[in-house]
Amino acid sequence: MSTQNPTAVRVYLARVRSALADLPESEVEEILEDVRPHLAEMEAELGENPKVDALIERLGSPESYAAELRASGGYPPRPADAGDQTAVLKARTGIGGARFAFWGLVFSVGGFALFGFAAAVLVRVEPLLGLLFVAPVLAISVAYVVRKGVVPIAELPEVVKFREMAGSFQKDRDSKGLNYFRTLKPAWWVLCAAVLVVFGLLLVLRDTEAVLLLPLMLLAAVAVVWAGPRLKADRRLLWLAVPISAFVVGSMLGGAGAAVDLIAKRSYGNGSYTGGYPPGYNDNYGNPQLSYGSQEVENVYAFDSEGKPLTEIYLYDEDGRPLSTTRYACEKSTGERRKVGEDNRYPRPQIERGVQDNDGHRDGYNGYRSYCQEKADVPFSAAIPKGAPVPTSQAAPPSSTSVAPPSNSTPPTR
Amino acid sequence: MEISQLLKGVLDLAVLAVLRGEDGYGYDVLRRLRVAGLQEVGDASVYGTLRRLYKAGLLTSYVVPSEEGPHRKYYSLNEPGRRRLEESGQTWRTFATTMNSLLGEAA
Repeated sequence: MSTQNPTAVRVYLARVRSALADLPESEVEEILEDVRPHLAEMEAELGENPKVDALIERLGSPESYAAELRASGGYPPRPADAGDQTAVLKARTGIGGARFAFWGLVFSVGGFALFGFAAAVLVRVEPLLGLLFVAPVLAISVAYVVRKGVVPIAELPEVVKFREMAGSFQKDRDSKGLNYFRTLKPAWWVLCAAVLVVFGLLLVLRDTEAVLLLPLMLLAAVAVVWAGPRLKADRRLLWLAVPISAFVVGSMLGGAGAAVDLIAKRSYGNGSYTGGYPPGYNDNYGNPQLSYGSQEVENVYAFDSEGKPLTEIYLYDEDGRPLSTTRYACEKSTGERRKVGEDNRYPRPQIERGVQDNDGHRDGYNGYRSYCQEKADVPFSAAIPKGAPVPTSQAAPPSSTSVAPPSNSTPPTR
Repeated sequence: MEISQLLKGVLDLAVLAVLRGEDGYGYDVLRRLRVAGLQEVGDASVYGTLRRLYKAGLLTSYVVPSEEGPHRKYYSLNEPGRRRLEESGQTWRTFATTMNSLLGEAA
């Protein structure tokens, strides 16, 4: 048996293959696997370098061979069997347009859902600009559908398959539930319109420039209410109703996400702070920071009624929760400060950082080496007013803050 | 009467029958049918029939690599295939008997 020069077999098989091109690829491969050894042997019988014509003489034309395979194998007959070359070409370009229209719709649905989602999550108009990229594709698809109708699209292999899948899915399902959803359809279009209007108004509230967008949203709302009920009669309206629905679904999901986010932030703020503090006031290590009003408080000093500084106090809030913050210490080798833990013991040592030169002069012109120093002493003293004794329980906060005339130079630094 | 017309109805049965004793790849099946006397059977019809029986779950297949040519896909009769062969064979015999007796009367 010679397989050195299998060109005739290849040519013959290629023509059979193209005559079966509408069948599933894997099935065609299975068929050809059966046929191939036969042709190889036949070629060997025909001697050196047989012509394709010799094979055709024995087996008939590849096309009739394929037709016989179809008939006996229970495969569907070749579509557009009478079509000559030009007809095939025409059909192809037709398929190209239909394909674009279909996948353009799919693409637009994705785009509308995505940008609607993004706009709703951020409650901003900018993501909607992304729709400018989607719009041309949708426009071309719509133009095709308006001109040619949906029949060529319905005949696309991928659409046929998709509809088969959807059909079997529907059969599997309890039809009662499905019918219930069908009755909800009109409500869906109204809901779409409502979401569009509300979303448009929200965006305007957020950003007055979005006013330009509002008419568009209203237009879409009207369009979807108009198109929805007519879908059954005119499938072309799918190209209007489906992207808008996708946009609404996307923005509803996004809106839900934004709402959940907002609520989570609120409750977090109320839970871990005694109200009023802006949420998210944490340092780089995720530890909460102390603040006084809106100002960050880095250190806390306490004095007794005699004006004597207390060097070791522990702070708690009204629920007995320790007011722990990140504790820093010097990293001797690098002269940087680093985190050594978190606790609620105050006052913290002051950490001074700067540069020094070889002679140990600090912060001079020649300084090049960074240093870091911890100082445990209290940088100022407090004069506690004796003349205005306040009720004991209320005494602490006003005295420590209103009376803090720094007698000793610098306020606490990092 | 055209034998090819008759074959259409019984090719399934014939293919199942030649696979009963021994597995075979496509060309094997074709050759066995020819050797058995079915000269008119079309090449492509046999391959199509094999695929249809396979998809109907009456045959199983396995591939045997060949050193000197394309690999060969062997078909073998499975249990449902054997049952079908049994049933169809019975039908055929009844039918043939009827036809024979009919023709015997006519002759």
